[in-house]
Amino acid sequence: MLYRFGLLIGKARWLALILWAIALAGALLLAARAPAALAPGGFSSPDLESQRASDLLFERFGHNPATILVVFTAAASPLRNHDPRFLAAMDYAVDEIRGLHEVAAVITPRENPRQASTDGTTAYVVIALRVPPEEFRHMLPRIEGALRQSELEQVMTGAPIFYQDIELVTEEDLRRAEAISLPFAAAALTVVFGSLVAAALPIVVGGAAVVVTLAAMVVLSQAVFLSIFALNLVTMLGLGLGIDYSLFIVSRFREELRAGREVSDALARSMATAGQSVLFSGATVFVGLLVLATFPFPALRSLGLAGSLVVLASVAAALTLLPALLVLVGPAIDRLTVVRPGARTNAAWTKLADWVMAHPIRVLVPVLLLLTSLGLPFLGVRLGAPDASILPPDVPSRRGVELIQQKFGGGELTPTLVLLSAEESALSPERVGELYDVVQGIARDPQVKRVDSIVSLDPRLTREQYQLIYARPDRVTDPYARAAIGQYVRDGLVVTQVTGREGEASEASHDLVRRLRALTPPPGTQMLVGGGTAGAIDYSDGLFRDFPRAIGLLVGATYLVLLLLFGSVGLPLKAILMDLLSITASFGALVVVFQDGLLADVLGFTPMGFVEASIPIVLFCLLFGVSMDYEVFLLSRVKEAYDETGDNRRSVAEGLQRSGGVITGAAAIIVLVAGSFVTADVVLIKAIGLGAAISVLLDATLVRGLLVPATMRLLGDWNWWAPTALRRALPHWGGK
Amino acid sequence: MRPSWLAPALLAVILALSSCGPPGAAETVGLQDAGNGSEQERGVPSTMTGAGISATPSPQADVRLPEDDAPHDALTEWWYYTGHLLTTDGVQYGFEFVVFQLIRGENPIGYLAHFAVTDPQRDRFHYAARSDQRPEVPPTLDIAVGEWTLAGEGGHDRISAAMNDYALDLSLIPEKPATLHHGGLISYGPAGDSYYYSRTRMAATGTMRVGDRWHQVAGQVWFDHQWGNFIVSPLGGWDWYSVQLDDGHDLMLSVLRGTDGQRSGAFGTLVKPNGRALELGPDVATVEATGSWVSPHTGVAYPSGWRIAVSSQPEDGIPTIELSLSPVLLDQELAFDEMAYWEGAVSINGVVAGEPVDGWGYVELTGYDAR
Repeated sequence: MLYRFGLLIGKARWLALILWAIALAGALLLAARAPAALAPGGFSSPDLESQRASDLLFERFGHNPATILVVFTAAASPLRNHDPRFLAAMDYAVDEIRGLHEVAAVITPRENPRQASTDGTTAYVVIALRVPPEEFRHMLPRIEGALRQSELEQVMTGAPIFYQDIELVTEEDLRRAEAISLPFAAAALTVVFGSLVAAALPIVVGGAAVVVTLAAMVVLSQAVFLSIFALNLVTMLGLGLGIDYSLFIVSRFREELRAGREVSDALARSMATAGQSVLFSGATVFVGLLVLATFPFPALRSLGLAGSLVVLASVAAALTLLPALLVLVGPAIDRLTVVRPGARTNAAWTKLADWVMAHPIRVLVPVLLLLTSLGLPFLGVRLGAPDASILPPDVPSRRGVELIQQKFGGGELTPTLVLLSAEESALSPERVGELYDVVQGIARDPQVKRVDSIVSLDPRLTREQYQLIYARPDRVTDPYARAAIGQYVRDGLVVTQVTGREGEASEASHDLVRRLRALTPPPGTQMLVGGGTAGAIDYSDGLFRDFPRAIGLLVGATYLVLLLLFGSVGLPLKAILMDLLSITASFGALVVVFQDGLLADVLGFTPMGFVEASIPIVLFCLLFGVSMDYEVFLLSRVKEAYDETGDNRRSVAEGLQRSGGVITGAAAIIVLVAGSFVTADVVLIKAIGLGAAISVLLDATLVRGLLVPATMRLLGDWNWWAPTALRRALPHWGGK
Repeated sequence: MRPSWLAPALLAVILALSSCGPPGAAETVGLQDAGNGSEQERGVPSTMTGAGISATPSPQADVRLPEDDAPHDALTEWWYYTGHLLTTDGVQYGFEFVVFQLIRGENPIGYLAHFAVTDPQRDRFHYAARSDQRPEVPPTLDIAVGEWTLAGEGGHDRISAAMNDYALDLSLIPEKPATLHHGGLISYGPAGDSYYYSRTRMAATGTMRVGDRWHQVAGQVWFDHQWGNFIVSPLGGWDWYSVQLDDGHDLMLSVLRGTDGQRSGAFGTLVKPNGRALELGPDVATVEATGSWVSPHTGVAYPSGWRIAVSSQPEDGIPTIELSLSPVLLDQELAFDEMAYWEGAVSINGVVAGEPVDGWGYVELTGYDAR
């Protein structure tokens, strides 16, 4: 089928090129707007308890729980945070902010003395917002513009600042990664192909895939949420896959030309073999990323959507743009040769395959043990939600957060919110009494540092006194109680704010949230537990609740694709197991590096103490397909040989030999492109880059060179077995 | 910069009471066995029964003076001065000056002050409020609420306040020892307990501005100091009477209404001319409202005009007392957004032990504002 398609493209090359030129011209204009069209956040889902709590708070209180904090320090002066001059300086700094329509309230240490650190050096002002933090692009310039510089050192933090910083750092990361990866990829291509013309084509195809996808994302962003992180993923995948796919086809095309075939025939044959592999490889990667789109979190959904798009674009460019260019270039593809390719490398692959197949058990066991042991650290993984620690230390949002954590304690920034709602007024004596009992119970938890609620004004106040204070809800005369009502009560809804002793990421904080959720609410009352830590728990739990389903879907779909391609029952299973081994090994590395901090200094980040929960899932879905690429290309070549010879051992050696150079080159390029994202300042991107690089590296070396030949040898003809009925039912691929 | 919420709110906290009894209804003060006394002869509080102020025993108060003149780390505290001043040219004025302190956890300590002047010559009643906050409890009685100040120790106090048409700057010295009421600790039931003592007669000298003109003034002042971990409930209220008679007797009666609006207790103290304090036992005194007044500002109806009767208890040295209290002005209501209360100067005449007597006093009516 693809042979004919190759012939067709060869004839309609100009049409294909013109269509691509038009698409690229339009896409270039749109693609430049991609960073602004994409948004940070998307790490929650409306179904999650923490998000329902957040939505309810926003609906009933009219302002977002996510606030901006301005942290003031008098590091260089003897001023103390209770000095009138210190307080006046804070008032001066935030005075104009009070008048902004986006701002619901400005709370200084005058209103809440807990916002002044006990060591006297630091204080912060809370700016409550009427708009969600995701709207930072519109809101922040006005707030930053209204913030005056006082005589104190001041730094802004909070969710909107965090989002802004993520956007800035991500764009910078992307520029840096592109600046590093493109020259390296070009150099690797030049080494693989030996010719500048041949090396240029994959870059053109990869670039085209990225540009077209970015443009499509700009259009899509008008209708759906697309995460800013998708920008990096698209670039990484588009360049990697576009180049990889082109590499396979160009390589085959040159091989066919060298075999003396006409350009059109060489192209058609390349399409029928390498093109087919690209199609199926693309299908496995596409399926993997599409599975991401089934997760309930907008960030993951958008990664899946953008990832699937870029795979489609890469496959489309490799199967339409590239053939048109190949026909146009023809034998000139070998021009501008800078490196003479030798046969030594390919022979080395044959020797290796022979040796492995001579000692399959001796190879299989230690390699399996090695890969398994590399993956073992993943058993100790601690999953968490992204927080300021994913950003570099000098970024304002992280500096502010760390300053507050240092001066006020880990739990101060991420209190847990317990929402109790009922039809009856929250201020009825019965409900006040019940709330008092609940709050007293919460306060006794050793992990609780403080409880703020309408019944936590002063520890000396009794249950009966609180009932009296709120006995006439329309005439609550205690100013502190009235302020607490404004802060914590809306009709039947009452909020209790629980500040833990430790930060959001700690296991103790997670346990505290779980204990709070296990509380039995008073009769007739609904309880929701929200806040930063609850959000992190829901995020991780939500992700991993759906992960097994995603794995099943991914594995099942991939199996079907490979079954269609190879017509074998066992090979797809083997390929999937190999794939899982290399992915697990990269997961182990993630834990050792990003959770435990190995190489943290070299890679330039602060160990998070946890692995961001979406990373294993994104990596799994991404790598399952990408790693499968090499299996597909290798096994396609093996199958070609097997179909010709029927000799399993020989076909494995031949497959390895013929695909050796090109897979090595392709993997090197992916490792370089993914590895260049290790330079990213956003730890999330760094982790995905490193995880992908490690997995592909393992895949292209240990798995391809040792495991595949060993298992192929051990399985023998079972590799190619399929029930006769199935074999008949499956389509026959390849050839003319 | 001070938070604007504190002013009306703190006022309301201290004084908000809502359930009101019908104006003009007679109140019988259930009085306690003798046993209360001055700081020199303090009695042991006993369990209240019958019409007593509390169904539960109040613990023994541990009031130490002058140390306890200073602010405490307590939920609620106030220093309350009411008095009658005479200018050198013979014009009489009544005044109220009070500073409230409210402590709630780690919040800033809230202060509110009220200053009211009753000017019967011009048929005027003026009042104003100030609020402030500070990070810590002051170690001595030296409090500034805005530009108004209160300082002193052992009854040697100085108060200063000013509003548009009136200003006061007074020095006070005690003429009698401090008096503990109900053993120094009274109970508001579920609302909590309060330490309570008075200096029922203090000599005041100083200056007073009326309009633009400053006058030398002298007069008599009643001082109340309460503190404790109690709250002022928005339910219930009290009628409080302070009486200073020309023959040297001073009398305090307080009638409490509970959260259900019904009378929950009463207590009183008679201070003899020599300063000896006698706690009034059950059914010893009655208070009867003789009229009512409806505020044109708030529509709240208050009792107005009272008859107080104390039956003789010769064994305790309590003489027969029959007094008639008349408001110097009908309109002495302090009305704020959250609540309103009536606190006004009254003129007094009557009989003590068969002898005619005149005097001055102050009456406070809270919990009538049911708006």
